[in-house]
Amino acid sequence: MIKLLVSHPDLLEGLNTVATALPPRTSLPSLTNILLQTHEDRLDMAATDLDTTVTTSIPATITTPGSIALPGKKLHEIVKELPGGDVHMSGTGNRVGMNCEKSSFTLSGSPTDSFPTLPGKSDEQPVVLPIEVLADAINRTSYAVAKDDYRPALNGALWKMDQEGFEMVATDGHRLARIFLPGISHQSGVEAIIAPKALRLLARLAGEGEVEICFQGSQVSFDFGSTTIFSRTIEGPYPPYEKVIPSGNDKGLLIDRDNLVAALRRMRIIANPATHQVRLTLEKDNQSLEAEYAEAGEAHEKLEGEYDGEPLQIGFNGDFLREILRNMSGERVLLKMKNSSTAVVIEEEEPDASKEYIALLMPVKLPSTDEG
Amino acid sequence: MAHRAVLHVDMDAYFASVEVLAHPRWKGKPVVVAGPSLRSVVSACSYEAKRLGVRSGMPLVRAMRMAPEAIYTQGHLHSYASYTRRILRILVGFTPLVEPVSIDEAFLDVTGAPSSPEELAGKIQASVLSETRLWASVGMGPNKLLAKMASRGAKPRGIGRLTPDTMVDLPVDSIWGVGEETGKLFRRFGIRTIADLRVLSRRQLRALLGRSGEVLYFLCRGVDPSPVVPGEEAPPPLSIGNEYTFPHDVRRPAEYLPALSLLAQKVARRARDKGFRGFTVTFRYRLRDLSCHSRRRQLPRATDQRGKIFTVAAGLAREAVGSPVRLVGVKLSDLVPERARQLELFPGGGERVSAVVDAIRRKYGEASITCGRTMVGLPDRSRIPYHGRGTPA
Repeated sequence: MIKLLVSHPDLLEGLNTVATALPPRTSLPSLTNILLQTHEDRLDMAATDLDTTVTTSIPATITTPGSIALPGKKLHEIVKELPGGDVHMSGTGNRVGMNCEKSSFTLSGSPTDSFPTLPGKSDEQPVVLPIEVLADAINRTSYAVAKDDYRPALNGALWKMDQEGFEMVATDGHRLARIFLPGISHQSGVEAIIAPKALRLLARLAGEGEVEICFQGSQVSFDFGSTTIFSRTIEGPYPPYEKVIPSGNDKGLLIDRDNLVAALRRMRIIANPATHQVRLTLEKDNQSLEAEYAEAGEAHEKLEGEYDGEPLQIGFNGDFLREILRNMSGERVLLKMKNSSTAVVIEEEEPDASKEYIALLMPVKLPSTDEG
Repeated sequence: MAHRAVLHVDMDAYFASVEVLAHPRWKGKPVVVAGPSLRSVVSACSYEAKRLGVRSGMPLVRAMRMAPEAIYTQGHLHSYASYTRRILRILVGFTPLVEPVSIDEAFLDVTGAPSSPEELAGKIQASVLSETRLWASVGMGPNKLLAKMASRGAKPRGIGRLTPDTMVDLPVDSIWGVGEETGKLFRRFGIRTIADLRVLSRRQLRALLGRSGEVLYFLCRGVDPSPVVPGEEAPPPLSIGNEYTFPHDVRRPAEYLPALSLLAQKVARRARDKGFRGFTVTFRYRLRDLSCHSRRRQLPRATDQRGKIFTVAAGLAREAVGSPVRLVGVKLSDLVPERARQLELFPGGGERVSAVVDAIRRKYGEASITCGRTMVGLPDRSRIPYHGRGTPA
């Protein structure tokens, strides 16, 4: 038995939140369900794909406390289409009726014991930070997370917290983004590789206010408002990224970020559609960007930047470079290079005092690029 | 044409030597490469087998009677072809004028090269040996005919030179085009050496042999104007794929993953050998009812790495295989030449392993190194179906 009354906007918002955890495809029928559970004067909802679990809670008027697991996609679709107002839900056994104004639906559910056990809250001291700061840090790093790499650790972002601050790193082996927030500390120090789905959900679900992050074993949880995201972390080790951040890059190109992004977009039209390779030619008074692809043609653009090193020719995947620049802020960026075959460091010209942010990009070795 | 310098590079007991590389224990033993059935003929044999009287082209059964103690193995054309590609790459490093004649020999035109032909021949023999551990014999001459005759005379492991003057003592059948029948005919006239043959006039030769007699008139005088025609480069492949048929149908990942690993390894290696990387991995499978199915996945970046190909293929297989399969295949397509390469931040991974594996494979042979996963529960088909003391098992 379960009987309750909820407002339509609350119910929809709750379902919008938990439905993000529903697996797109699964062989386990129980994972297609959303768990509904009354709790005092609230209705708790949860969905999971076993790696990521999202729970939330909405205000409700409970007549008969109880719980049931309902087919998540159907429930979500129905609630999206309801006219608004109050929604009455009442069920016996595995059937639940929903009434809203003139519409009524009956859904077949499953007993709640078929639903996977929900992860418990950690009793560790959480790290608290503004959602806005976390979401920004995620957006600036997560684009570099590998997709489908055979090295599982690269398919997540490394989060490292200690007394110094909070460091976030993502790399796919060709480019790397690292952000360091000095203000946010963790007493004992913690390190975890966060799965991309958790990163996506966080950036999407978190609104305003603060988020509490708890690490417990192989699980991390993010608490904000009445919602919690639990995520299983990815097993390491993470590659030795500190070692590949170069320090002796002596050739610097200072250049307008938007102009370079626009030039790269133009090169993209001609560049090899599989490799997106472009060539950057750098001399003191003359810098240019080129793309050529036998099946399409050639493109050339003069750049207006400040370059202070030996002449250099270097190849890149233009899409990688563009993505890095798009995630930077400020008017101008600094590209620091050493030669045509080692990592380039990209940073903002006027960094924000509240964070350190750099990106690395490995060049593409072009057939005519000289050994540098 | 007066000062041409032509080299003929001919691999010694090629197939048998490649087999010995793949099976180091066969070194120094008589090894015979033949077809799969008892009715086949000997396609190659080691010098140890030659000493026992075995010859290429001899029926297998006869060879087995002559050399019952020899090791008999089926040929692995793919493996020989891969060595041939590597050898040709070495040769092209010396001159672009390389004409591959067959899987184990090639002509090089080194006219006007800064080094002398002797020096080049020595360097070529040494490079081929150090990069493949296979011996080549090299013949030098002012044209293809004499270079080829010289390499034959130099075998094994030799370097030889012939001129129109030094060829005279060789038997007539050492000239190309003089086969068993013609040889027999000449012997009836008491013609045994090239010097003997030179006595015949152009007319007499034509009367004896027709038009080919006229050609022979020039050949026996060491005259051969045919040019060295560089072999055309093979067109780029559209895809690289391998398949594996199970001895009995399988369904569990533990049963098919070793095969996928082997296939991924082969495909990756072939891609690297050809200098290509692919953007699409296809997993193909055949069910018990012989129906064929496939699934493919596009990668964000082109690869030629075993680990990457295996991960993707295994993922596709886990999604696809629900009922017993009799065959699985892995294919890499959307190939791009590896000319421009995205460099790695952490090169310690698969790439370096692959480079080492390739180096070992080139030096010690195809079967010398494999991924551990392929050795679990997989009957090794790269080994021979029969070998041992003369009788096929």
